[in-house]
Amino acid sequence: MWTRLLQRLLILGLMLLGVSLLAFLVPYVSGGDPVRTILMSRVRDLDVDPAAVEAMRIHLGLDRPLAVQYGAWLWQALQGDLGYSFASGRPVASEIGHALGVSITLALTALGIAAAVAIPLGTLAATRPGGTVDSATTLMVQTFVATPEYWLAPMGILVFALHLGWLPSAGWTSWTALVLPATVLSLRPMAYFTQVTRAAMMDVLQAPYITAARSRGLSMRQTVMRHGLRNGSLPVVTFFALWLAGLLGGSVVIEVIFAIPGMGRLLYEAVINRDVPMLQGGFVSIVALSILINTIADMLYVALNPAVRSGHAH
Amino acid sequence: MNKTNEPLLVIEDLTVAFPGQPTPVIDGLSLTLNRGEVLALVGESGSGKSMTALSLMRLLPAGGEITGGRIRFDGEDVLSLSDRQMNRMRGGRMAMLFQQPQAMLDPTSRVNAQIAEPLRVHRGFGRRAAMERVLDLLREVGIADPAVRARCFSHELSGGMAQRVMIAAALSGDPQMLIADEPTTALDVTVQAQILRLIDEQRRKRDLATLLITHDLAVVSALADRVAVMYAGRIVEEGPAKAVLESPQHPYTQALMRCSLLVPDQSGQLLSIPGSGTHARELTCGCRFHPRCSAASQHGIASRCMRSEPALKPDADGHETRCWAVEPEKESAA
Amino acid sequence: MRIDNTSQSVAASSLLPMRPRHLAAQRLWRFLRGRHWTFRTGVVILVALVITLILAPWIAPHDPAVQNLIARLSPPSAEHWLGTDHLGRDLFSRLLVGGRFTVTIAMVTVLLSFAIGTLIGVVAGRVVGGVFDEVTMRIIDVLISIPDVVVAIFLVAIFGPGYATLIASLTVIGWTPFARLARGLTLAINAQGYIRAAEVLGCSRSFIVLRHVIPNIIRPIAAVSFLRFGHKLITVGALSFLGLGVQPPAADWALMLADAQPYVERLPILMIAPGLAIFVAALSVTWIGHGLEIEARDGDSGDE
Repeated sequence: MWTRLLQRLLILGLMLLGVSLLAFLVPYVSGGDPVRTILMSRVRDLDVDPAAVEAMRIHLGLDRPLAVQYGAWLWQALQGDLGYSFASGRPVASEIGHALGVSITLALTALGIAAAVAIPLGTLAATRPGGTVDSATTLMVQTFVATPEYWLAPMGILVFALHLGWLPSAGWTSWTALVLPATVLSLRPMAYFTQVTRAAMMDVLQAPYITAARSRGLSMRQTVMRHGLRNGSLPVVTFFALWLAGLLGGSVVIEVIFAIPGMGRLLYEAVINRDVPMLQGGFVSIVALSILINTIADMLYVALNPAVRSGHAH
Repeated sequence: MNKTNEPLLVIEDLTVAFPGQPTPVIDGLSLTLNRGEVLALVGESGSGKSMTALSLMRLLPAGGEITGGRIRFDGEDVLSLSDRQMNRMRGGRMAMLFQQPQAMLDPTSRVNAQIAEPLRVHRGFGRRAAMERVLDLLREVGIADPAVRARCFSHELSGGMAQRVMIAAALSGDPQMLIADEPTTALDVTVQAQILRLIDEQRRKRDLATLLITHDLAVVSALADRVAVMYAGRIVEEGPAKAVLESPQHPYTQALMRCSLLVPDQSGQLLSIPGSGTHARELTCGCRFHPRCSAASQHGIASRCMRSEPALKPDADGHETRCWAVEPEKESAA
Repeated sequence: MRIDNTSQSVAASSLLPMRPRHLAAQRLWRFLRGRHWTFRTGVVILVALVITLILAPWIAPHDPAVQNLIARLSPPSAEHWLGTDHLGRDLFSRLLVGGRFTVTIAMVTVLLSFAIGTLIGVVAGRVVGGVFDEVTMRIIDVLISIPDVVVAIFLVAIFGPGYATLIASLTVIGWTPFARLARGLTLAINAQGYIRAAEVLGCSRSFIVLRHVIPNIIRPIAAVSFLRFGHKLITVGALSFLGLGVQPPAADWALMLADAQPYVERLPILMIAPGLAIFVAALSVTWIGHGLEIEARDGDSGDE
């Protein structure tokens, strides 16, 4: 268990090194003059005078071998210095900080909605497999999985913002602006959470300790509440984390459609504006966060399960 | 309220079937259990002992269904109770112990919460009162340092300890009947005796009627007042423990006894019953034991055993046997 | 008569007359019979969809790229069955050809992920506990948590949009679920008697894998392939929607959705139609995948 975690951390470190190397190489492989691109990311107002550029190049050490440059770049990045955005001229790190806050809010809201619907629904479906609720739930899951959010979102705007006028169509100003994007974003995780909960609950409900609990006089409902849910929701924790990580950058489309200033939109605009430092910083930080969240989730899974915790798992 | 003379539990002609299986798992089983009595239900694995127990609790695994018969418990018709009434019955009036005590405890829930459940749902205990009662119960079932053990999870307990916890949970609802489904089979030999003594002690103290399911005849002789022997979903012999153990009438019971004593035969090999009982239910006519029965050939009644199934016939002492070889007039050795 | 695949009947089958060949339609019917309605509907939709997409350039009533600014944003009519878009292009014709890019990319990605993931998973499962297994599994633990859209955006930003970039970026992460599944299934197979027997008999490793392992794990993996296919359709669409997939003026469902945004109030069908197309395509493969999943789990092989 500890060796596994250690291995995991080792691979995690190597993977992050690889990802950062990829990001570091962006200016060299994306066309254009890499030196100029890099200089632009380091200095706010770049002098067009060739002599000044040359001086700056030496000053910033861009004449050193690539490996050395990578080391220096990584060191700066680790200290939170990711350079300046081409588009806004502000430090990349602080822009990412703001965007992350927005994205996490959006993702947690969406996942909260998803879990709030999925856990009871999946449990209900599992108590009567093959029943009406179960069949309807399966159909709902399949429908939600197959619905493109870039279709649902504009349709939602059309109905709730333009026709009914209940909710704002875009922006990030009040909590009402959160309702529509979070709801649309919640459907796919909701579908997967429901499936996972249902499968886990089906397993749990066949466990011997459920029969034992029933033999003590607990009703089916009490049994599920007291003994089913906790055991059945363990796998959901892992899934929640996987989705939280996925939505941090993966909600690009929703953030673009609703003009939400989150990570996804930041990354998207970096691509559109060819904003190299922003792209580098955004990519590295999303990947690093995703990996980190998942590692924490795996540890949380262990913490929630007392039997695994002390190494008694079978 | 003159119910005291009436048996506590009366099972009549109980039949339990699973869809997809051609024959019932339990086929026309009848049993009675008196107040304060210990009835042992004996048989090899697969004979339907555990299914009988689960039928009484109406907790058969998914698909299993009681297709016929009646169960009367303390004057009430168990099979016609509503779900709500049945919940009150379970844990409150009949409680159960299982074979694998550790698997029977929720791995994510503390021991005290599980023992307290019958107290809270049946006896209206508040949280604090329930926790205090749990400590008393743990002390009663012989757990040292109850305050610490109460906060354990199942994986922190040994098998014997877990069974003690299960006993505490079973007793906490103050039931009239205890169903113990092979409570010691999964435990170490040294622990088995301790657990059996605990069960015996508690049932005497509380005047608990006990249905003890086991395949261990030593356990039967130590605890049981009466014994019922089950084979392939049917009772083949039933009677006072002493009578059945000292002079078993049915060839199956006799074979079972010889096997359990681990006595060698003339050639020095340990005795065993040839064949297996797994498919015995599929016999559609004749005695279900006849393919494995030595008596059938010895008595020269094999064709009769093959043709029709004998009924349970009592002798003078209420010792009943389901076998053609046993004549009702025949004198009981007891 | 159904013939069991035992040695006896293999010997006997050579004596039997050859089974009559069925027409394709009959075979399809035999395949579908007795299965859940969602699975049948899924198969029918997918077959129809693939045929339509292949034949689209010939059956489209109009050239999907021809603009007619005079007839822009016209509602459905006899001439334009579903109306025209903001550049006067025929919506129905564009709808017919609009799935080619997305479906192709998604299909190739899934096939590649399937092949790579299964191979790695099976090998890891056969050498379980070894260095290769440990390292691969830890790499998968980490890779599986990276959102594929983000990788795709990053790679598209560097290399520009195109088939190769999109396929590569979606496969980099896409193989991981397949590998996990294949490894788990292989582990279960390892314990089976016939594998032990083959090992004792001295069969080569690759023989065992090809002959015994892969045929036995292919069904659940195929089921997952269809489920992933649906997921990929949506993801590729998302990239197109953002302008990082197919490039205009080519017709693409998701791109049509993006183009329709400003006109959605005036002519909702511009948005409803292509969205519905993606939805139906994704739903059909999801249904197929779900049907296969249930079948693989219940071990019911159905008709031959």
